[in-house]
Amino acid sequence: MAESLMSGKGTPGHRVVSGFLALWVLAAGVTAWMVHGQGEAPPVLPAEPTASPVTVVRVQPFVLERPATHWYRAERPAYAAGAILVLEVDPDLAHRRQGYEPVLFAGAETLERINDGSASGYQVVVLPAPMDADGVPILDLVPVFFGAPALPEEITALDAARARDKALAAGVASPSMEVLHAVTRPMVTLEDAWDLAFAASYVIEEFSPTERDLIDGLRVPRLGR
Amino acid sequence: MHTTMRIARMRPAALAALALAALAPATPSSDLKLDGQTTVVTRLGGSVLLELSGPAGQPFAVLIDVDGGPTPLFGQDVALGFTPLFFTALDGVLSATGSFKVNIPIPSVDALVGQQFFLVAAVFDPTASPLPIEWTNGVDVTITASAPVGHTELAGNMLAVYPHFETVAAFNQGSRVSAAVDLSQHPGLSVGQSGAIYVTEDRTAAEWDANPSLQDVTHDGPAFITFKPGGLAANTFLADDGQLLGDAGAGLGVGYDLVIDLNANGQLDAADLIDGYGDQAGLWVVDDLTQPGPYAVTEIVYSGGSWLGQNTYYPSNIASLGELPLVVVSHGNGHNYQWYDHIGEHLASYGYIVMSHQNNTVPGVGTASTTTLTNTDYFLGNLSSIAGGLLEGHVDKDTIVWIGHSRGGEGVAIAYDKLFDGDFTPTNFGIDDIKLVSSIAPTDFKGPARADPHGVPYHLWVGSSDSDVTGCADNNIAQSFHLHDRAEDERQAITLQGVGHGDFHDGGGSSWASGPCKVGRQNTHTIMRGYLLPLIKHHLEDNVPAEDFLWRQWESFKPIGAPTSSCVVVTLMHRRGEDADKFVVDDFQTNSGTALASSGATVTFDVTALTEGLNDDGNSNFTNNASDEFNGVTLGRNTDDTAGLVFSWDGVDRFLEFDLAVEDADVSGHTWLSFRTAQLTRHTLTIAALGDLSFEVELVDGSGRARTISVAAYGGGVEEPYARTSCGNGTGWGAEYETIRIRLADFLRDGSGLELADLDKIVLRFGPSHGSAEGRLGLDDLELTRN
Repeated sequence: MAESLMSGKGTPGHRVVSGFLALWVLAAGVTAWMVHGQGEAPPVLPAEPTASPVTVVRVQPFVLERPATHWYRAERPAYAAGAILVLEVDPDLAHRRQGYEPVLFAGAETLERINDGSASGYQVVVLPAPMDADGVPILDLVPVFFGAPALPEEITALDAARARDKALAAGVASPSMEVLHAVTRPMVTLEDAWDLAFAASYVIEEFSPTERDLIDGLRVPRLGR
Repeated sequence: MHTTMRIARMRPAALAALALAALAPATPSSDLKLDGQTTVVTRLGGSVLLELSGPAGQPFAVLIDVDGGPTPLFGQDVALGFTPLFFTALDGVLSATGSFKVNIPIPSVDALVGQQFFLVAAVFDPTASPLPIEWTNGVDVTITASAPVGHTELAGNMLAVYPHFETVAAFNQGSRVSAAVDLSQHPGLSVGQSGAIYVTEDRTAAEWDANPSLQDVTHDGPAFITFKPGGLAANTFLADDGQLLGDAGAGLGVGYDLVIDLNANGQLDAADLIDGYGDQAGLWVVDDLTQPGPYAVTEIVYSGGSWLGQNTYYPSNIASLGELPLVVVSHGNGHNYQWYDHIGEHLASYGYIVMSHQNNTVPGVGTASTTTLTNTDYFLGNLSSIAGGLLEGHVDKDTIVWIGHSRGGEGVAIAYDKLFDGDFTPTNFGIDDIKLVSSIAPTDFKGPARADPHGVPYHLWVGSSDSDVTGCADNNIAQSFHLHDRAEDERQAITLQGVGHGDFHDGGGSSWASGPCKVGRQNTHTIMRGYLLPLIKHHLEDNVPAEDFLWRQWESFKPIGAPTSSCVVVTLMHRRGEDADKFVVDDFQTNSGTALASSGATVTFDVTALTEGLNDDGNSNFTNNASDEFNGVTLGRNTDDTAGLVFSWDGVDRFLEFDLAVEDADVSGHTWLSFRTAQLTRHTLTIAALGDLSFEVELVDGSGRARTISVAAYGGGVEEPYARTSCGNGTGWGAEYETIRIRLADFLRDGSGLELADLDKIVLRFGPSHGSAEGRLGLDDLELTRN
């Protein structure tokens, strides 16, 4: 299981850096919350979103009995496995805006953003992934990063691979194996995309509980059940 | 004057006159009218007043036919068909003053009903060259079974300046209703004549015919009046002091007819004047549209699966309400489908079904548009499951409105485009079922290739304080007006100063509003509620009073419960669709030179810094810059084709003149003159007189008769830009175009003598003699419409 979580390696000193960055992110989060709650305009995007650290704090692998559509890629690929990730991020980058937003990537795949996260600093996302021969998701988390602002629906697989390569070349750190082992939950089997969102609502409730309307909206009664 | 009137084949003498006249000059100096108009409708048993003017003491012949031609004769177009049925209706001699008048009785012969007759006169004129005979203009009369004499526009509001009175359809409950009689337009009426004004329940023509008794519904009974000298202003009378009721239940506007009983017999008959004879009322009284309608509302939340979460509102008594239109709401990025109670509850209380759905906006507007389509399709295909099947049989699947916010606002336009292009094929509805698309502060990621409403009626909300979809020139994606200007048919926009992006939903949090004098979320919702019902009623039901809310100046007419703070500034833009049978004088889309309008009209001017071009700010900021002629205009991007005019004046009287082509001179069949205009932001001439701007519109006919009306006569003027900073240096935000609409009949008030059948020029006059001493304006869509 552990071997299938990652296909890449972390960099030396990563944990020290990430610990420092975590404190920085926390401080930035407090500032961003003040801006979010009282400001007139959405926070200004940094020129280099990729430089902003993204910390993986939860990995919830899953498989789906019925494949879902990955709307965050131009090819709209179907997927039947992956992981719900909880990422600690700069709230300013998580902030939802109507214009282009920085796209979240894990490896060479775009991430589906489920919640807002600009208040909590926690972004709950879905990483679609292939499965190995045993039906276990192969999660590529090298690295997890914000790419340039874009519409995810216009990003091709090639675009995503280029974004990953650019991030790695820029020295974006990847989560360590130890951290990933510590934050990874046992794999769950879900029926379909709706169930996946339903499951994600509990993760959002844990990490970003003020997003009540979103949480409730993902749990409304499903017709026919 | 002795006149004989014949119903006979044309006599040889008249034929000779015809032959001679065929060689006469093309521009007649003689003039023919029926009841003062060139087109009239009258009833069996009634009469029309024929008036002919021309060379004094000269003989003439009036010819009549069932075809209005024109018939080319020796290089001249004569306004008659010369079918085998044509004949000489009458002949005679013009008086010493060059005039002739006669009342022509319409025989009570049923076979005449529905017939249209065309008349033209041949007048002998010894001074004419090269031959001493000329043809007049053509006139026509249509015979109806039951249109009473005196069917006219009466109800409206007094104005402080010329035209002294505006005829309107809608009155807010509690507002005074006045009636005005322009004696110059009613030759049969005279000073000293008395009558009584009745406001009655609305009746159709058939109902009036069956029951002509007059029953006044005002609290103090009929108002007795006497016509006085002094023109229209002296003959404007109070019909009701604000006591008429406007509670129309789930409808909009309570209809009334307004009658002036001129023979004091308490009956509607041919001697009287009536406003409202026919299928439509003469006036409507409207109650507070910001308040809920009569129905209790049930709200349900459910999901049909992935991205099919839906929050649906419907009248609780829907089982007794037949089929109701469907309004779909598609939220924006970071928003939630449960944040539109102010739309859902309000419209459902008036008998609509509103479904707000989960919108997949984060991947992009294309994906969002797919969600709009799939949710609409799912809803219509699963009515047996939703609400326990209660909605089954109660949704009018042919009548759908899409409302989208932000990315969802672009999404609904893209969704329509996908239907248009055949890129999405729904199971349970089709493109023709989409009756209206309305975007709230939409983005424009996709540009004209995709974010295109095509020919669907389109509506737009814009908040001038929006700090998310900002409207700044630096970002095409954040300029909502683009979508409006891509709409090809009927389109309208409501711009709200002081309103931010988040004010349009009810999800709490920041308003995302930047700038002074913020309106706030609750006030925004009140304004929205007040306009939502007119918007829907106008497009889905052709509700007449509803349209008044969509174009009349906010300063003089708005929903009763709308906030009255001076911070609330609303501008309305409304261009009628092709069904208005428009004559577009200049939309600046063709003939891009400044000397020629798109219609072929010749354009002359002495306004300064005039430029015709793309309605798009030329750089990436709103800083005043002489080289950026369209500074602050954000109606299009550089791949759009929306074009317009900008110009200035500075303390000196200036003009901009459109000389109509001869073939376009007859505008008598049109009702409105309309254009859109906006003050251009941060310009020194805009800042010099910050406030509503005014100028005058002058019509000039072929005889040089002119009449002028100020655009401020009806209240308000051209709104000043919102005093927001950033987006470069200076204060003032993007251009807020608004529609100015003037009834052509207003130019005829008090016997102006203006001949709308021979309109020569439309002149816009600026400067200290005509309104604001200085200013800089954008102008577009100068057109005439029939309704």
